[in-house]
Amino acid sequence: MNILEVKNLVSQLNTEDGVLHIINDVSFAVKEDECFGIIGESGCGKTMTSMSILGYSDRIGLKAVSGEILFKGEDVLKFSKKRLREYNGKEAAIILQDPMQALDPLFTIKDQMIETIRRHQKVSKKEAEKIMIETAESLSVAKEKLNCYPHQLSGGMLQRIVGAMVLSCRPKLIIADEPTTALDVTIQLQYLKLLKRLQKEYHTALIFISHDIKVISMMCDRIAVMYAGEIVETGTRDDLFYHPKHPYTQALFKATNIDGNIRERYETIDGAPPNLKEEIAGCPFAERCQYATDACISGKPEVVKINDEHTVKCRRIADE
Amino acid sequence: MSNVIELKNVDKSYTNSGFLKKTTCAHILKNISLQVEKGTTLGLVGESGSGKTTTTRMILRQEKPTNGELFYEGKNVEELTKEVEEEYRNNVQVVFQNPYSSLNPKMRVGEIIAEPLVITGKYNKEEIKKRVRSIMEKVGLAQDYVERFPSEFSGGQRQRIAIARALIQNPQLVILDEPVSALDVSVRGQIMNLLKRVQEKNKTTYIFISHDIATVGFLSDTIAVMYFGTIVEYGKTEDILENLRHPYTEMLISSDSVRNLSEAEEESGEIPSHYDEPKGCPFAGRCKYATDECRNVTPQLKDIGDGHKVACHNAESITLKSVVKINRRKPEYQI
Amino acid sequence: MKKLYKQKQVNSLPIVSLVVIGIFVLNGLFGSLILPKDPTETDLVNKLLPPVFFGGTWNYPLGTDELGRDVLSRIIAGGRVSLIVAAAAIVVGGIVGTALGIIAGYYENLADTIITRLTDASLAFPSILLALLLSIGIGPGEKAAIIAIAFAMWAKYARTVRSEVLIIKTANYITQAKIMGAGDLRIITRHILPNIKDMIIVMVSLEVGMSIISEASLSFLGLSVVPPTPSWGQMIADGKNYFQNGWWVSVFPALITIITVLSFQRFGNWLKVSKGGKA
Repeated sequence: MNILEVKNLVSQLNTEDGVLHIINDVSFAVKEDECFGIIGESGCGKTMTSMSILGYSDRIGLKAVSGEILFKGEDVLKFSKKRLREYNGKEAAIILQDPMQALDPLFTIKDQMIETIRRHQKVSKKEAEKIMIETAESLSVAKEKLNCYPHQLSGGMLQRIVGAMVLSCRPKLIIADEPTTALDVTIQLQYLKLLKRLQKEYHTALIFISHDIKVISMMCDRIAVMYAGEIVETGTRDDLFYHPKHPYTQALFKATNIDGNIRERYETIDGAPPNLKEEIAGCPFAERCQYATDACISGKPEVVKINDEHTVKCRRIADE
Repeated sequence: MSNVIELKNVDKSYTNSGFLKKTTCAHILKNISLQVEKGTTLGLVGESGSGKTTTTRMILRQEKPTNGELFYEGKNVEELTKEVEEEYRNNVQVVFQNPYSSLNPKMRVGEIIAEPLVITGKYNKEEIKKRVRSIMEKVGLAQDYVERFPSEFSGGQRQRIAIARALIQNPQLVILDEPVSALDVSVRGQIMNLLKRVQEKNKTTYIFISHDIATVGFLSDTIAVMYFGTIVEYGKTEDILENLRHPYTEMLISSDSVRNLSEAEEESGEIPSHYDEPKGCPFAGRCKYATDECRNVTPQLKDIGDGHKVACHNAESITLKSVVKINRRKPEYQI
Repeated sequence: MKKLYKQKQVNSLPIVSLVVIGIFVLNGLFGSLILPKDPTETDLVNKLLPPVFFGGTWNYPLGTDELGRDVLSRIIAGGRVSLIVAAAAIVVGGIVGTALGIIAGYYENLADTIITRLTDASLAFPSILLALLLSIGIGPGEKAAIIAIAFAMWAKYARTVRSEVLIIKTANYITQAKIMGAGDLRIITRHILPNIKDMIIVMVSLEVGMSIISEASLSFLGLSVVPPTPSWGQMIADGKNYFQNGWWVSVFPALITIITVLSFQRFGNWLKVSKGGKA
């Protein structure tokens, strides 16, 4: 059962420098209880996609030109203000990279958590406190920390607290946008273990967004690779790791130095992502791709199905 | 081989005393001794609270040690003549992590790169122009970027600008403070390869700081692992990566090379607070090999052979996993 | 480090405000060349003539006051006073305030503590009282008014500039400059000033309006220019005594003041938004 279906989403962003074509025909589906990963580098549109899924498009000047985002069958893009208020937090929520974007420095953790719980569930203060303590415990947050102010706690602890706040409302879908990027490496692993365990326990779908392939490979069952506002490849973790088909995916994996061994020279991808101010007629990766042909530059490739879960958007693969 | 920089038994503490307030003292650095040989790279590995930032600030003369001494080319930094002090300043440069705040948004790229030369006051306009153009070419920046502003560039290109600025005086030592951590993965390699090329050509000395062992290992000849203000392990890169001896080093490396979450060991714990220093080894609270001795007696850096030093009571008795291989041959595939 | 895209804000150039500002400035600079009548010449025969659309003549388009002086000419001349006093006050107050703000923010030592206390004291001190004391001390006139207004203003600049400098100081490029051996003067002129320039310009454009109002208030109380030099505030004060018979003497200068100040506000707001602030 798909809890989320994004269908052919095309969105543009109004900025000071003009219109940016930031999401170009993105489609994917997320099953209930699954951990779905989105890999991409800066500017690929992954954060904008997550904003759209949560219905925040208006707030950031993002306009959906066409397409649908179906959450349990309902189109989020058409939600009324009232429906959005119920939706955010209770049915779908987000964990951001910087925990201080979710926390108010002027209030104790306890106050903020209780406020969040009571906003989304009709419970008394006492009951809210109980829920808070339960959720905090499951995230290994010691009770004493709840009485502290955010500035008294470390980044790793704050990120857990934000996680606890999000999970306390039992949303059906959680989006985690680079939640561990700002954390120390030795803390990251613990946080990820925690998140994964809770995802299974609470039966939540998790969309995990990152530029770090290693992190995504640890967390996610199915993964999508995004480039310049398009999804270029989707597949299970094994599909992508052992049989990556798209040239960008292959190049990205090589550049990441997955096995961690030290080499003489770093692998890199020459060039830079395309300028999103213009609509790109062909494949967005064509100018950096060693296999690109004229056909690649002039027209968009179709989606090729390699097996049930593995799809690629590449002309070269289609021709094979 | 001479040392460009040497720290001997350096301590750094910050005391916070106030009227009607309890005096608190944070010992940020404890007994740090480091040498950087000319033409080599010293890798400083550590996470937040390790003291690596304070160490570099000290080398950059932005902080003074509370105890201990700092030597530049064998001379004590406190006793330098004016000329040598100026030489020091021109010869020790830095590239910071954040490409967005290290360039003045109101200055043009050409001016930014030229600034170190302009400050010395020793060059005329023509010379400066020539050197700016030359360094931009070496670093891979197009000549027409001179008139542009930093806001028009991506993170990777900004780091190139910062590197050009650091290299324009042909410094002896460049401190690289997490220069690629904020960059996209596909761009990191470009910058790392550039840094390596520059070092091969000019025999520049680097101090490379990172929390990522893989990037540190790429450039470094020696590595110092720091935790909570002390050096816990120190030695040649090969020794550290293939034969690590400190539990914290093991934790760092394994965090990076874990493939499956179930492989990751369960542990809870964070870096201790500077205002509530634990007795004994600072890592004891998180260490799975910790003994009573560890919790009560602070271990000292001991040489366990061939320059490989570890600060651990159990260095000889425990076996640690090392999963990183050094494979310094050129990769077959090109992208 | 992700950069969030800046949203485009609707920000149309306020043409009308610009025109008014243009007229105000040109009037201040060249108004004396087009005076229809001598603003200080009294002519009791023609006292209290109404403006042209209320029963008067084109000879005195906005009427005359109780001394027979042409209101239009007095408004033109008064506009010059407003411009000069407001501009001088801003220049003096702005330069002093910015300089002190930079010193306080950059050095953060004893100088900072002293300057901050002075700022607090100054903001608490009523400028009207100061103007009064000054007019007793150095005699009434533009000098007193300029000093009084500048005094009321410098503290705002000092405070805002200081907090901006405190923030900018933490940026890596400032640390870099220090590491490269740049002296304080170079850092302040090449790295700090260019990055607070925008903010200062916006502050100035928003303060001009306040300045004009302050001058008008002071001259209303007789604490600015001395008669017979006309000024808008003075005219409003004069006219209120015989409002029944000659409302135009007060109303026109008041209207002009309001329109000018609003135009500066509108322009200042546009400037602020175009430089990335919020309206």
